[in-house]
Amino acid sequence: MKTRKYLLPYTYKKVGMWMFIPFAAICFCLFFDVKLPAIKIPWIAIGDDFFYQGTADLLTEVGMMGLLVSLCFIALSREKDEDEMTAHIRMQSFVWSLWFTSAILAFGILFIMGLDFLSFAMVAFYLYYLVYILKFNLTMRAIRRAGR
Amino acid sequence: MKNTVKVERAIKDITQQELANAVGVSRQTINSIEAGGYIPSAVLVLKIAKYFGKPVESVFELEEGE
Repeated sequence: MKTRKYLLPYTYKKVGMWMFIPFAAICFCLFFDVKLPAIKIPWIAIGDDFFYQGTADLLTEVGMMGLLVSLCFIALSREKDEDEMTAHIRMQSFVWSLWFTSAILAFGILFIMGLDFLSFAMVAFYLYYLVYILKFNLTMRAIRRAGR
Repeated sequence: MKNTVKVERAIKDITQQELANAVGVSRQTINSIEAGGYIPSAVLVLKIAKYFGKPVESVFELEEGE
């Protein structure tokens, strides 16, 4: 399988890591209701009466989108030494993360209710990416250590 | 799957890195193959056997139950 076709170059991983810090900080503040400057901007989205013409909080939109993009950069970029074994570990990590995230989502659906479920859903957006990145990188680290 | 990659490499007196460069994979992949932690693809098996100039069956062997 040619990974060049569907993975970003290695440099995007480092860009993603640097991007992750500020955007994760913004989302952390949003999650724990830390008072951040509210910058309202006119916005068109899908909402009441199909099209919602109103305002959105710029920091929320940029923070959440930036976190998503940074996690995509980290998860979907090639390794320096990308080969068939790396691709195999990548696929294993995808499947393992899907199982793990599904279990967490099932737990949340069954046992988290009310407004807390909204907070859980906000974290659930990113859970699959975070679990995959952790699983893949920890596995690669163990292999590199074993190979020394 | 059992293999004699380490033995063949010793006979040819080359490092894991040199073998990895010759067949187009990383040194970690060669190390994992030798340790039995990774089963290489058919293409890689053929490349390694061709590099050593040996038939595939003399370098890679199926284990009981596979």
